Amino acid sequence: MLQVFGVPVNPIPPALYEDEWDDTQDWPNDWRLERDDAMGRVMATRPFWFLIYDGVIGAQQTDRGQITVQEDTWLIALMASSQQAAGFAAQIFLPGEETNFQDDDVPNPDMLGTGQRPFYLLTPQHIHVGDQLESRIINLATSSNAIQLVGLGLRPDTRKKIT
Amino acid sequence: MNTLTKKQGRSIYTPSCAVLVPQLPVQNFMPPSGKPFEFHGGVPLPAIGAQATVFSFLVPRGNNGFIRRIANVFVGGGFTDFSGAVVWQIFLDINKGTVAPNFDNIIASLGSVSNPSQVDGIHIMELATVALVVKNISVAVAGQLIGGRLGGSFHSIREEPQNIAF
Repeated sequence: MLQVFGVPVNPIPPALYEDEWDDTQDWPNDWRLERDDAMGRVMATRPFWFLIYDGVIGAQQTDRGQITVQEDTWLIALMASSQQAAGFAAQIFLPGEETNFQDDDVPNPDMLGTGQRPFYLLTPQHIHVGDQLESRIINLATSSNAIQLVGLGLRPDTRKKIT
Repeated sequence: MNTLTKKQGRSIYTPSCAVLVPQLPVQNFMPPSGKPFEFHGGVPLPAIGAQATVFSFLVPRGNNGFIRRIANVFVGGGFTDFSGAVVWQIFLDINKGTVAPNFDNIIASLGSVSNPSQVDGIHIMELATVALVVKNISVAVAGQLIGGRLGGSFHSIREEPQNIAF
């Protein structure tokens, strides 16, 4: 896998075990060092939010979105909003990697979280700089529907020293 | 368990030896295991503001498919192509309400039932109820009929390349 210097292979798992970060326990030194190093790498990334799709789609019609990733990124969560309660179905592709995130169109409550409750991916997806992230959005409402699809990503924080 | 599924990357497009036996793309040509279909039907023109399912069909279990020929016709008077007075839609799954992208707002007859037009393949999925739907926007009902035809083939899911998108 092509990697940019300073981007950890998978920065998420060490951060997920927050309850294990208990200073009152006497962890083996070598274990702590390993964890500290991993957490240091997570701290060297910055979260940011980016629009994957933003548009108004007519009744029971479809649209496609396409963005070009400007920086080497780990996609870790998805969130979406739909003006109409009927919602929408979506499919996301990385055509450069010949990767489909879904084989079929998935309704937004099954795949996409909300701003308050983001849908965290079990496996963060590494998206290389210059890759295109395409989306296919199907409005399920029988009226016009304003739809936004937002991703939460991690990218290197150039302000921090990475050892 | 040694299963052949698309998700495991064991489609027949993965060569098992140094020589890859060439096969025409499944989205354009029916594979040897394919089952052809030519579904067609007609309904009376629905009332203004209403929609009707011209016909629908179920994709068999264990199969996906491709629609490669389409026709939609208006039989009777009172409608002109591109007027927007009648709109057709192809649904990937009428039960889920998902329309086929780029076939969601058909405002003209794209082919006659006896001479349908060729398309590059609308991907339809296992157990979906595919449907041709018509919406009457502004044509006064006077005994007109709406007809259509969707032709193509079903195939075993493992016939598909792993990177197939649509």
